Amino acid sequence: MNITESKELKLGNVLRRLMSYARPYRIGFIVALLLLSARLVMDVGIAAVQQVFIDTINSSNMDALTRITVICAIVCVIIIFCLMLQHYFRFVIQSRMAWDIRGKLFGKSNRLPFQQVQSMHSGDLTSRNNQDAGIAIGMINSIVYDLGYNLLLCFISFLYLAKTDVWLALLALGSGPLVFLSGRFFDRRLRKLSTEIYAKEAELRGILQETLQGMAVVRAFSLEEILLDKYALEREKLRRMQLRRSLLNGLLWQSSAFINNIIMITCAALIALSALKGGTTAGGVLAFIILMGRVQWPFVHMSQTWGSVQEALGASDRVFAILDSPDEGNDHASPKPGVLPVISDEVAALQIQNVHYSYSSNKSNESPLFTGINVHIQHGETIAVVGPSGSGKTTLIRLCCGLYEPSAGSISVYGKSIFDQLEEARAMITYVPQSPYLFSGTIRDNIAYSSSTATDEEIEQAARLAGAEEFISKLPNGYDTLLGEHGSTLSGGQRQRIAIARAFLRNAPLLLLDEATSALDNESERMVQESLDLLMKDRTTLVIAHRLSTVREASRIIVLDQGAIVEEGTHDSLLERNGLYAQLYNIQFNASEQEGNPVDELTATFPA
Amino acid sequence: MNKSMNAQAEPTKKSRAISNTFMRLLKLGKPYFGWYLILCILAAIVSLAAVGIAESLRRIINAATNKDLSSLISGAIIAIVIITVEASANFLKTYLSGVLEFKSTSKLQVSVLSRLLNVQMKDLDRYHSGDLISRINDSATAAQQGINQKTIDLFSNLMQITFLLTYLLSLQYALTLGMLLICSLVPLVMLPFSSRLRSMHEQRQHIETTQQMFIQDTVQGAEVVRTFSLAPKLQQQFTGRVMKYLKIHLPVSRLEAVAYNMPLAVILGGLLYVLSYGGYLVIHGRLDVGAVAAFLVCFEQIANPVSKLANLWTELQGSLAQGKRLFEVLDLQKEGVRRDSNGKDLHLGTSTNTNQAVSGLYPISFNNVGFGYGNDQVLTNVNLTIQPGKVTALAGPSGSGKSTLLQLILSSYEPNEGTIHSGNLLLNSIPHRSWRSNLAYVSQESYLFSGTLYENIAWGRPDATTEDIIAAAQSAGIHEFIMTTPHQYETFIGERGLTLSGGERQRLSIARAFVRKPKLLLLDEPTAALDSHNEEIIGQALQELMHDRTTVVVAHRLSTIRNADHIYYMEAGSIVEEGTHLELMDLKGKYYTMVETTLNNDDKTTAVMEEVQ
Repeated sequence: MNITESKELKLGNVLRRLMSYARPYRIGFIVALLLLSARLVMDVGIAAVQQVFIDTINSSNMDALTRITVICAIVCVIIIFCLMLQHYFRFVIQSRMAWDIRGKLFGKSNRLPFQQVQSMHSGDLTSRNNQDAGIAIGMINSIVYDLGYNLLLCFISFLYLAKTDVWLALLALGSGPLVFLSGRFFDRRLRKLSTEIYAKEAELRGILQETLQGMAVVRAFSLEEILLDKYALEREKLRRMQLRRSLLNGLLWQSSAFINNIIMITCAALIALSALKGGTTAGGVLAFIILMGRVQWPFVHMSQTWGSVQEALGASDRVFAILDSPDEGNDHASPKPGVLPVISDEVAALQIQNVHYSYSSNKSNESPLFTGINVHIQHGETIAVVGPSGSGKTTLIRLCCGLYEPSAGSISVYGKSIFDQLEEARAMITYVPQSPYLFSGTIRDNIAYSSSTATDEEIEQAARLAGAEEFISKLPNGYDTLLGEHGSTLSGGQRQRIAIARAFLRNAPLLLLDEATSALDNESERMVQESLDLLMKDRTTLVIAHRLSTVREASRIIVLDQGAIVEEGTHDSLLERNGLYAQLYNIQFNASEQEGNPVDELTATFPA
Repeated sequence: MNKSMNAQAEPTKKSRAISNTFMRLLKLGKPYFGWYLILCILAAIVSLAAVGIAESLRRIINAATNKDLSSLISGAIIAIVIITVEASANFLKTYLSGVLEFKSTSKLQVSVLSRLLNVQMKDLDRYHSGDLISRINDSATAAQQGINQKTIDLFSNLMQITFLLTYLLSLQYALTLGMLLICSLVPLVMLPFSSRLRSMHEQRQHIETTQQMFIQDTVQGAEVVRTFSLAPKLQQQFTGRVMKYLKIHLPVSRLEAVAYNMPLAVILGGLLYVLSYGGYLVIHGRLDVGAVAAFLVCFEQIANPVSKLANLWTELQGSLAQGKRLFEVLDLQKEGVRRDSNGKDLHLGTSTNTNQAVSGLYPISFNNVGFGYGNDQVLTNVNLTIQPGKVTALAGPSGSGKSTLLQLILSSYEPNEGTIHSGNLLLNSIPHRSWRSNLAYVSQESYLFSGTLYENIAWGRPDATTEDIIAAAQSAGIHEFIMTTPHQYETFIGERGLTLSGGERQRLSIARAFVRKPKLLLLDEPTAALDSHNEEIIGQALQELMHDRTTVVVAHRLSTIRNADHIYYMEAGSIVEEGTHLELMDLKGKYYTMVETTLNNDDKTTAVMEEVQ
């Protein structure tokens, strides 16, 4: 949960880290910076050129005027061309850097501990990637280009100005920081407010996402108005915050500008006074006034840019909060292809040793689910897990996949520890969850996701084995049919078969199965069951079983109750024992028999 | 997609579409006309102040050349007063434009969402939720801000130009006119690129949205992503999309680099013009040096508005592209509004009729109903009657259209052919809200909202009391579980209730249906994933719930089907058999085969298993 409350990082630290994203583009970055000197030439040059012009005009030399005009025109064309190039480089690099950090964030969000992802709203995580990352990168650019440039401009203008009148130049320069510092009063507030605004925007995204994805329920229960009100209410809160921010910004900008204008007029009056006493020419006065502006305005711009830097810091805090949170497991080297561990009878297919686990990380208010659970599965075994709802069956399987991290104990798959060799261990596992998750994209992609090298034949073979070939071939574009969000265009059974095809293609030795076939109609259930049987063949299987036939076929049954293994054995031995298993079994089948019907075994369900 | 393609194919259509988008963009700005006016006046004050500053600077410089101290002092005083006015006007302008921006965008966003909540499900299905979110978050904001900004720009720039022109024309007309020409001609060079720019903006936004959808999908599928080690592959896809984005972003950046530097080109060109031609005039004694200085100071003030005006259309392209995306969703057909006008009896439903229709006392009948998603025909020629107070079961293989039929009763979709009546009223003529207020729908996969457990049950009936909620939870067999959670009914459940087990989610969604006390119950058989104990409780509770209520259940389990009063057996979108369980068994048709194969098949498995043992 600590991730949702991102802590404020030191500015220097943030900048250094953001700058590291510029490294791959350093050449372009430097070119863009160098091209910026064209702007410097222009900004400083204009004043100088104007002075030259005015003095030329005053000396009434027509030839000199023409000559200067031509030279200046050529220089202008060059400058504008340079600036166009600069703009291009700057924004192309900025967008590349933004995509880099977004890519990194994307990769990171795929490596975050699953539990952490579950505790965050997906809308929040998505919003950090879509919005905050871009804002953070925008900041680094505005610091380097705008702040840096303005600082340089101040310095050069000062030198130029000092040539005319050292004391006035010092006055102008000295008052500049005053302008800048007067704006710093707002920094902390801006940063805090901005963090709140980005968090609120993420929350709004979450609301939108839930409303739009649950549209069927929203309609059926007529929740339209309530949800709209909820959104409008939160949006209104956001609006108020934005307004506060714009008030702060308005104060920041105008106070800087106002102080600056006052100083400028004072200086102008002073130099005019000195001209009055015959110190400078009229052209000199004009150039001075314009140059004054050049020294002063950068400070105003800096003050304002600094304000937006504070805003962007809020966003970068949110980005780095994700990037800084620990990865799951200890190792992220992808498994080397082909180097699979030796599968022998000596090495346990799945070994769970003395595992403790509790849902909430703070152990205060909730009793732990598992306190020292042990499971040992040999290669080739089929183990069924049975138990009442909430007994921890799904959690057990998620622990095996390394989705959750136990607070104590160890889990290994074919000798590979889940913690130290997470990716290698996962390469040995195929997990088929209860409700299949499909991505938007084609059916082919959805099956092939599990293998990077699958050929079309292999994909079709997997679909055939999963019993999905028939309905796929009936679709208008076959394997290239585009699926809706989460595969919404397919029926439940079809989605499940695609998930099974995925498992076939993956071809890993250990199968973890969260059985859900009972939500299907009989016909497709039979098909799904056949393909699941095929899938389980030659594989080690740990299955959360709801169906009698699965349980009977299992080489061993584990009965879970409130996080503890209360019984273990085969179907018959457990029935003889007349414990919880027998109880679960009897409730189901006595109920069926009372109806006076033959035992409807296929649809008989065991606990979820 | 189709629309835009057609539009591109035919130039006349295209230009009409643009002007249409443009007109509608203008309409978005209409309610805020008063605001624009105030902001323009403020802008006018700011630009008047600019003239004032220029004039006072001219006085200061002339005072310096003429060595006149008193006019120097008066010039300085005027300048300070003007600066104060300018600062306060500028502050007001910044603040008020912020107020306007946030007010108008938040209003637009809420209205887009409200529209999306009321459009037909069929249309909505075509969009990824990530796409819709991007339209609300990005497109609505960009479109509204575009029109706000550009309208204000237009008027305030026009005003600024007027003021400055009167001032400058009074100084020297030839100099002024030449300046004006330079200011407006240079940006006009960009005009031919504007349409290309817009289509590129559109493409770029499209890719950006696709990327957002992709990120959302990946984040939500965290479980699969991890267990199948999909991360490297997804990362690759991410990079691939970025490449595609950059492919469009690069030319856009090139064009923008040129466009954004146009005002600068104008300023430099104009300055040169003023200095050289102004100098020429001074040398020939037709102008004083102070006037040239004033021109120089005024120059940026006038060059900016003029070049901005000339560049307005180019800059509007991004907003137009976003506006198009926005209007596309705003144009989706609302529910309950039928396009064809041939059915005169469509809107006959008076409130009393409606009340009768939704009272659950009338049968619901389908007459030759046909329905399909796009080219995919799902239901053909369906005729059935749902008797009030009875349990009607829909059975049949996967993909036979059972769930879709349920959706039609929900009036989430409207049939393409045929009619659905409740009593003698057309279902379409009954307001959706009142129709749905009497029914509860329990979907196959339970969808929960993040919030407390209490809230999730209360979604069923917003005015339910705490007692109602607890009673419903008890009936659904979830009360005991709730009491074991840390904060009981106030326990917060994560996104879509994913922190709960499947069974718990399902029981919560049943409690939600209970609390609604519906007249018509639509079940997409949910009991399957429950454990036996709870199933028994819920079986009884559902029996109670079904009592005296009309129930339509998509049944997968033989026991449910057998207990129904009437069974419709469906195959490939049509009803092939109907009757009670016994009647259908006697018929020895497809239903019989289904039942037999199910039982036989299971017997076989059992037999095989026993042999093995």
